[in-house]
Amino acid sequence: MKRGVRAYFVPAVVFLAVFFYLPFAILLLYSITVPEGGFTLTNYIDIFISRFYLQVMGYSILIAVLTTFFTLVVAYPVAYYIVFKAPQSVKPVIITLMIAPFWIDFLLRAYSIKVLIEPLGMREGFTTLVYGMVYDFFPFMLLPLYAGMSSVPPSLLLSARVYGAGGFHILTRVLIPLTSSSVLAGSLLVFLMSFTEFVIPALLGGVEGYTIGYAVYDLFFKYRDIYRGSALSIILSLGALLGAIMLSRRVKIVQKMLSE
Amino acid sequence: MRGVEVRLENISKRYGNTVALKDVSLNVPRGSLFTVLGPSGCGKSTLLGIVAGFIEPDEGHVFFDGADVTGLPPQKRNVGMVFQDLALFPHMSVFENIAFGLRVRGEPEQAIREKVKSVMELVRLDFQEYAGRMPHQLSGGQQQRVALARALAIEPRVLLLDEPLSHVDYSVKILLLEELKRIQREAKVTTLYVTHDQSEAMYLADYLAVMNYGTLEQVGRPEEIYDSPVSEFVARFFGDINIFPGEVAGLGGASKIGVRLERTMLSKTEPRVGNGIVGYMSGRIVEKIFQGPHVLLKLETDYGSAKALLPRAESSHYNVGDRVFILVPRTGLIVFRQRGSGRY
Repeated sequence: MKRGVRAYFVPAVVFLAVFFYLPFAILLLYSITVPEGGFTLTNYIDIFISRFYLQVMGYSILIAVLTTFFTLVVAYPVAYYIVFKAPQSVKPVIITLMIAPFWIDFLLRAYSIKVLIEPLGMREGFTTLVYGMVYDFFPFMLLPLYAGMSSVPPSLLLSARVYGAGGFHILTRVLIPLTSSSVLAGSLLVFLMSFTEFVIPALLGGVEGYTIGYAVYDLFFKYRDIYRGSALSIILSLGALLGAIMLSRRVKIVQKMLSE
Repeated sequence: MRGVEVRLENISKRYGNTVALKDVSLNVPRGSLFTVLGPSGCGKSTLLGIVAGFIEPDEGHVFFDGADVTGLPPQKRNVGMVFQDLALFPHMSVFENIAFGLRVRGEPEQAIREKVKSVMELVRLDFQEYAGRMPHQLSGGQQQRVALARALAIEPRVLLLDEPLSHVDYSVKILLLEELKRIQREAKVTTLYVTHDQSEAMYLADYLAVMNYGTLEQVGRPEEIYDSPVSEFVARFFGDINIFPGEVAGLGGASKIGVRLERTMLSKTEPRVGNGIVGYMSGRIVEKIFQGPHVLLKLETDYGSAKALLPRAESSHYNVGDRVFILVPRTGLIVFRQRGSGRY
């Protein structure tokens, strides 16, 4: 890398080093430390042999899978409509309307749903918390899908139609394969965010809101066990990293195909 | 494979305030190669979309072999189409691209394989070598062949080509035009070829329609249109031409006369009218452009600029700056009147 190029990265690297890598290193250090001092792996082992944490993890995965599934099902047709059907002049309006809730603070949005639960005849619990997550993470699914679909030439869909494909075949044989990398990107984003989410389950989940994010919170702030709390955080982070790596390889393959 | 006769009746299409097509009627004979030539934005791609079925006309009807298909969706029309960007599916191999139309029709595997093999043979792509490749591993010319093979695999009733060669180098273009002509003859499929390039149109067409502003200016065989263009636009768009103001005895009123470049003759001495020459004017050579077998001379006259296309040997008598006489011959003289025209 040339020196001139390197300069562009200085602010980002400094920022990340101070606010992310350094705290992360401290977290890593705590996770392999015992309160009395000295290094150990027992913090990790405790988590992996604990029925409780495995159950909470399983429950969080279930919530994350459902959230991801529903955001995908809701966002995919919307992205399709915006990219291929909406009149050019209306597109920016629709996109703006779709992401408008994002101008409001995350916590406020979660509270606003809490206020709405009762008039809507819903109760705090599993369904409501998944609903809240779908509502909150929808734009994170929509935007990658929108970007991915925008890179699919409309002529591909036209030619699929001309060659006899109906809606089902166009979707399964052309559109979904060509947008698979953005489906994956959006899904991973939403999955990771909903898997580790703490605020929404806490506010909307009631007794059914105890997720892995909540467990990390409890370890740190309720039990003051920063050692196991760190270990659990590291496990979640490594899981996310692994997912991101797998995804980036997949994305590269699809990008190569599209860029002929 | 068997093509149909395509008939368009009084097709009109508007996009908001823009008129894309205005009362277009056209008859494409069965098995012919019909070229629609026009500048970009003249409505020729809209015309193809209407034949393919993904654009609905505001008025008018489309007939395949006499049957009205106007309301039929594209997937039920059985047309093959090659798009300007080819629209090969980037995530599918050559085999799967060509097989696409057959797969969605639910053809049995064995039949698909045989059909793909036979159309690849038709477009001269080696099955062993290319069937497994991905589109991005092919050259531009090979991609063209795949797109054509995919269009032919479904045994289309009509083959539609939307400027398929606009992104191809000149040398490859010539080769592909020859191939296209051969393939079209062998497959005997009715073909509608849309282009803005007059040399492609000249090379390919059995019949030609020249389009402008959403209407067909003239339809006919290429030679007819070249020799007897109905308007200045057609004359200029299909071949190059000198147009001078002039009056033609017996026709009355002001008109313009046109002479194709290769019929425009030059002389260093003042000619005499008669004996095949109907008129002349003086001018000066301002530019001499080498074009291989011919040399293009650009001239300035009292009636505006003119061009002459001379065989190379003959051109050596003329140099930039020379004063010459430009002769208008009787043969090939084209007269443009307010409306309509004809050979003199």
